[in-house]
Amino acid sequence: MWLIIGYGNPLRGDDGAGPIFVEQLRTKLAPDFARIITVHQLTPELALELSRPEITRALFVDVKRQQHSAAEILPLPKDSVQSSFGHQLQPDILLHSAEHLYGRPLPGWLLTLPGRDFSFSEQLSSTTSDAFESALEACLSFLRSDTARSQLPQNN
Amino acid sequence: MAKTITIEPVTRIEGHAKISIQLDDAGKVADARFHVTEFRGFEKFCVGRSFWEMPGITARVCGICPVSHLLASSKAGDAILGVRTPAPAVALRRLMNHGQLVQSHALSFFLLSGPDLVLGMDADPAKRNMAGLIAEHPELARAGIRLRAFGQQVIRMLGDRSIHPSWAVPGGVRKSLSAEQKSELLKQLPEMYTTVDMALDLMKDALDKFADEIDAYGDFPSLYLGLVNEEGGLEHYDGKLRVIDSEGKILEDGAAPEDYQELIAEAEQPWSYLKFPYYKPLGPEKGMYRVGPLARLNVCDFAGTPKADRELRQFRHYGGQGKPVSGSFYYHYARLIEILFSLEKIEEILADEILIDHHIRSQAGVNQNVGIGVSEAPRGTLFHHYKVDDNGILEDVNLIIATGQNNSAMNRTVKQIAERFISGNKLDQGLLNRVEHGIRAFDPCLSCSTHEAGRMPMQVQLFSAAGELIDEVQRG
Repeated sequence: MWLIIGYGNPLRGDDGAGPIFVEQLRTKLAPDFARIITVHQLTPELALELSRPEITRALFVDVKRQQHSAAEILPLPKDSVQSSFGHQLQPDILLHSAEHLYGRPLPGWLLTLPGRDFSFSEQLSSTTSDAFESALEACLSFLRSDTARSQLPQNN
Repeated sequence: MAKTITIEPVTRIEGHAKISIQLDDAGKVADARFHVTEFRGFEKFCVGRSFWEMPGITARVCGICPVSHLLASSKAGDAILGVRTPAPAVALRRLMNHGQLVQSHALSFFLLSGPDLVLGMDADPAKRNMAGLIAEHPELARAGIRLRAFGQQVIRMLGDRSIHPSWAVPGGVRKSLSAEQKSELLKQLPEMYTTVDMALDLMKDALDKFADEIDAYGDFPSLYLGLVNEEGGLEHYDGKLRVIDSEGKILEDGAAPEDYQELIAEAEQPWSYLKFPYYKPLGPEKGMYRVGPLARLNVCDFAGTPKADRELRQFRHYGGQGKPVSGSFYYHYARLIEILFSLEKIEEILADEILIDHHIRSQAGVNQNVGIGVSEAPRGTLFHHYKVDDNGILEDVNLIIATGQNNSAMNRTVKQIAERFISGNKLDQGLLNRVEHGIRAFDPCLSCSTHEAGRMPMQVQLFSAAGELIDEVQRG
């Protein structure tokens, strides 16, 4: 089962695209196919979500500046933690935590949407909102693809 | 040749800041500054909004301590309504505040400062982080995550979400807890107490391990400010303000929070967006005071719960002869005692039959044109001061946050560490680690609530007086 986490601040324009995107995804996926969570930021206790026995794969959804495509889906590093640490975390440290604290080595991916305007607003910029349809298509196709399936850990 | 060392950004704190250390011609530390380089502007853009919106708006000041702003803002709103908040609502607000203290202090101790305490200040920065902590002490990281999750769960049960809950309102709160929710929280408490016991053992080991350098992490005379209850006990939601000096002498006692302007004034510096509050009667220099866990434990006469009081008695040995504990390194220890206290208070509140009463909100319109709300946030005393017109539209807003009140002390701490550990003109990782840890002891919350994929790595630059870059270190 997928764990899909959309994160960002819905009051900071395009920063909130991750949560909005995964809510749209929710309407297209069966509840037993994916557990979907929206959060403002990634926090350490999300490692507990990743360690749930039914979770076998994780997809994080965020926004990136200067991205030209509607969606980029990249695998997250399995054996190294590259992000910095603060009150909010990055996806790789959460995967690392799930593996090394709870014995749950999960494959994970980061899907990024293009973002342009991060000022105070509840609206997405046209750059981001125009990307949604293609990004949803790409995401759904990816979630059901052999690429995602082939990365399942052996004990699942 | 005079030089400036700049550390930017400071990692494992909330928000963006940089540190600069100025050396004189002889290579000695001349000054040190903790610059807060982000501008928020809440006090300005809230003017013209309705005070009813303020709990929701100001909770957005921060993703780590939204509850503190929610409560201080709601209390300011209570004052504008001129109503008595129903006792069950006060109990529920206290419950959420204790959940907030648990989750915030757990994050600070276990996951942000834990790597320094467990792996040591001289550990490779690439490993002196959460991943390093997980590798070396997975049981500690697991326990810390569970403890923080527990605090978050308290907040989420009441406010429907753990970050930016929209729950407390002027006059009360929106909803109470079910019997099932109370039971769910109560059954987790034994595990949480065990976690704090483990952390206290670790803390005492750290006090031995760093015995030779603890006095470099911001150990100096200062004043301390915090709320105490009517009996002089530890207080986080209500009560009166108390100020003590570096000898433990009480300078102010029983001061009504709404009279805070008689006690506190704010100075500004052109190089930081963070103000420099000080104790008004003594002026900016002698009036430097600290707030937060260390200050709260210094100003109170007792905690008021058995486990926390037992630990508080041990804590006070580090002050000696009735004096306050002056080392900022002891903020870590104080946080653990406060977690213990909050767990005991959560247990007490959950058992209180007052929660059965469903009258949790008083209704009224604008009855006062000024409202001041004060509460103790994890990092210290938080003031919300609103002036409204007869329609409740805000005409003036003043927020005094804990990190601001510790600003002078943080600057002093950086200078003290630099004086002890700087040698020569070459940047040294050990120094940088210690300077960062000195700041982290205060767990400053500079509040950025947006993020993007990718983060700025740490960059440290050494400049000559003429502005020439003569040394540089990068992390990440």
